[in-house]
Amino acid sequence: MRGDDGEEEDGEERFRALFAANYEHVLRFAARRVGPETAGDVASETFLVAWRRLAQVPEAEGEALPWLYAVARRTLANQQRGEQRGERLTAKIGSATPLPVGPDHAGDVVGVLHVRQALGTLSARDRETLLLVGWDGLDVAAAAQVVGCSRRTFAVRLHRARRRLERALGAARTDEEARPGAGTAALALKGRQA
Amino acid sequence: MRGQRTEQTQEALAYVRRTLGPADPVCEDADAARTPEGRAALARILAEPAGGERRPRTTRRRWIVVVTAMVTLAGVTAVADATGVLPSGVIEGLTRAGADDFGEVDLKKARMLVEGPTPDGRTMQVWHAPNASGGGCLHTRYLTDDGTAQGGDSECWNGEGADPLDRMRLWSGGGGGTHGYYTTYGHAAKPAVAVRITWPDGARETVQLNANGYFLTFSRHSVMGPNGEFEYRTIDALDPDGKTVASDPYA
Repeated sequence: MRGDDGEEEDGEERFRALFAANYEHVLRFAARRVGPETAGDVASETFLVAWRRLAQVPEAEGEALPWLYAVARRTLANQQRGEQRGERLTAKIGSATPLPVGPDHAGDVVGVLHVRQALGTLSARDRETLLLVGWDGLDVAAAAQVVGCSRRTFAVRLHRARRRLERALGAARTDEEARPGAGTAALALKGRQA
Repeated sequence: MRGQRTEQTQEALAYVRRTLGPADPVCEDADAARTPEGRAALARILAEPAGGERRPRTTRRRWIVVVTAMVTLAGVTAVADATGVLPSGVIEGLTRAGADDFGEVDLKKARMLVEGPTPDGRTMQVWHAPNASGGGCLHTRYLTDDGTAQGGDSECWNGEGADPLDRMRLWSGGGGGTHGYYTTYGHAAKPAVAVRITWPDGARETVQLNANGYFLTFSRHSVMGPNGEFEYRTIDALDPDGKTVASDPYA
């Protein structure tokens, strides 16, 4: 029979493995939503909760990360409550965050801008639904676990959010085409990225 | 039909990933856990007590017995007792909660942790004494200009499984006993110089620690959610650079 010390050592070993496997994912999850400057704090708080509730963290492969994302989501909600969340996210994703594009992809740059602009026009729920899939790479089951709903409900949300994203993207492209000098602006941005 | 829905969902997943993927503002950083920041974060977390199903030891609510009573003790602020220095109201306040459960309160070690002016012009004091279980008792009291003392809350906790207050990196207490204001007091160990309180409504306030590491503040914010349910505050201890050195998300 193992004593308390043995159990504590097992717990620490398990937590270290959990941290090593998932810290980067939680950090990116937070950075996508609040920017890199406070993402570290969110990730630390998330793992602190995991450390204190280690018995509740699922051990099955692939289930721990959605659990951690759900904790991070609550941590973020606590941080952001009372703020103008829509404006904040719009500002974040439209900010000067370096775009992952090279100098010869002007079309990609414009596409990225369209996507971010379109995301900024969607509701918080639609954005969350889309980002969990599009940026965090979750499937329906894992994303449903993060937001605390059934798979079927999340799938419905995904379909609706996808349609609204398509409409918003269409509107963003129309606005861009109608704007004088739009191509020049895109090329200027491309030059700065280079 | 079900197969068709599954196919549509897979198509939606693929579309969203294809469309949003290039706009992801965050680059891959596969070694984040091994960076100095990652290692420091891990060390900070492991320095905290593991929880299991228990409440974190940075708070004491799990073990406490609380007595909330506003007892007016006119003119007793300077009454000496067997210890020679303790006001009798403090003795009553420290001993009235939990003595039966957690053992005798050691009044010889009683001391005032922090005091400060309340929004309504009184002075609030927070007193502490250890008890036989290894835990302790806290008592809050209010003093008016005319020497009247009003006893506030008292709470005691079992020391079993809990760190003594002076070994905690961060602890806090508080309540709503000050006419529309929520009181928060506590202590943060060095290198903390301030605490940041994040309220359920998202509001944040930063409170400087006194020279001994204690804080006492009164806020208009509430710990009650929109539906009347209790919601936790988060209290972060901040070092001189504003970095979080200890955190209690269940304050």
